[in-house]
Amino acid sequence: MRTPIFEYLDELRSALPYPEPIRDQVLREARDHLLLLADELQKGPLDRDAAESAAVERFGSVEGFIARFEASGGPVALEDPVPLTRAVPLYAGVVLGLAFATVLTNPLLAVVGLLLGIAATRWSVATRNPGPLLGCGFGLLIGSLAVAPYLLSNGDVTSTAAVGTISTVVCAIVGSLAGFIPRLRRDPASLIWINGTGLFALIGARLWIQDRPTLTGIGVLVAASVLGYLMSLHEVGRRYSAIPFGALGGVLAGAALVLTAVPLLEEAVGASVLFTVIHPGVVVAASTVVGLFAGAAVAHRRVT
Amino acid sequence: MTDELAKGHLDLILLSALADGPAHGYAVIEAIRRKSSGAFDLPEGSVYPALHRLERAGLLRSDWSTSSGRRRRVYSLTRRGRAELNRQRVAWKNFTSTVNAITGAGA
Repeated sequence: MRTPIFEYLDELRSALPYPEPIRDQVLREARDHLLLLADELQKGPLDRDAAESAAVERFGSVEGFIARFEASGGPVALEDPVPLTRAVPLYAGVVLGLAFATVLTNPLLAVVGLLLGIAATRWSVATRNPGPLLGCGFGLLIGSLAVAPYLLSNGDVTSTAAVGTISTVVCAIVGSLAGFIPRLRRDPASLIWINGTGLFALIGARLWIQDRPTLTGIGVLVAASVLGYLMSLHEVGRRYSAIPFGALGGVLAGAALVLTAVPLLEEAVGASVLFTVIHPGVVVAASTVVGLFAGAAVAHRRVT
Repeated sequence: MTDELAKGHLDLILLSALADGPAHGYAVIEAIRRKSSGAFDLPEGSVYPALHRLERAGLLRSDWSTSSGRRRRVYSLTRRGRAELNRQRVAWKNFTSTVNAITGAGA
């Protein structure tokens, strides 16, 4: 049944000169407004049809509506949180892949991380979303800078410690500060990626600084605290707080596992497990990814 | 208020309407209509291009909010938006007091 509001929205849909995601958002706002206005007008003496016609007249013509949008620079897209929360597992996988590349110095894993990042580009949440590509490039840079010195020195960890530390710390700082750039601050996909790689760059730096892969509980807690604070300042921390808090919870849980469960396990089996069977960086990385998944699930449930 | 005056100060009007807290477009129009006792009479759809423009300028932020089972876009002032609102309020106050002094309208 074609009501006055239906006819108006049909005309508006045909006339709006914007790509589909943005056009749908504009139509949604117009529809909600018209329906609320018609409901209000119907409280008086008007029947539904008359109320909707009056609502359309008060809303303004389609031509005038579009002209005002064009004069104001066009609509601003608001990212749909559902694709974001669906994309988080892919981003988590990319972060994990690069973490393995940094910790285990296997460049092939960096390639896996890159491929996962490219796959994540399918989940662009806005028409101009630099997040996935930016994240891929940034993550590849971190992985390359962390791995290259090790490869160039034929696997001599000692001689590459200084270069590896400096490169990963610089990347972590740049990555986290990039989240304050206004355009990136509005793109939650970019922020999750940048903060995720920043976290693992910090952890990687902490591993390299001692000339061999070691990870202390205090180092993890410091890195997690700093990163948690930085993420809370970003838009993504306000909008989808479950995601960064999930990641932070994962980091802390991983550190707690390394500090408590692993010694108990070593006592039970009577042999050293840390760095022989279980690498602490892997435990922290895996628990962070689990935290990201959990946070994304919570955020997804809240917005749908 | 004439349409020309309202159009010229739409930013100040919208920022003021959101000063009390986040609201979606219809709620913004309702607040303006209530506070102006019905004097604000621009096409109601004109609020959306202005809200988007203010968001692009960094004075507003928007987010999805679910209410009564419907997901709506809700706008709120940013820190810059609040500072701009205060600045425009002061400018408007100075302007009207100057004009009143010249025209004797405030006497």
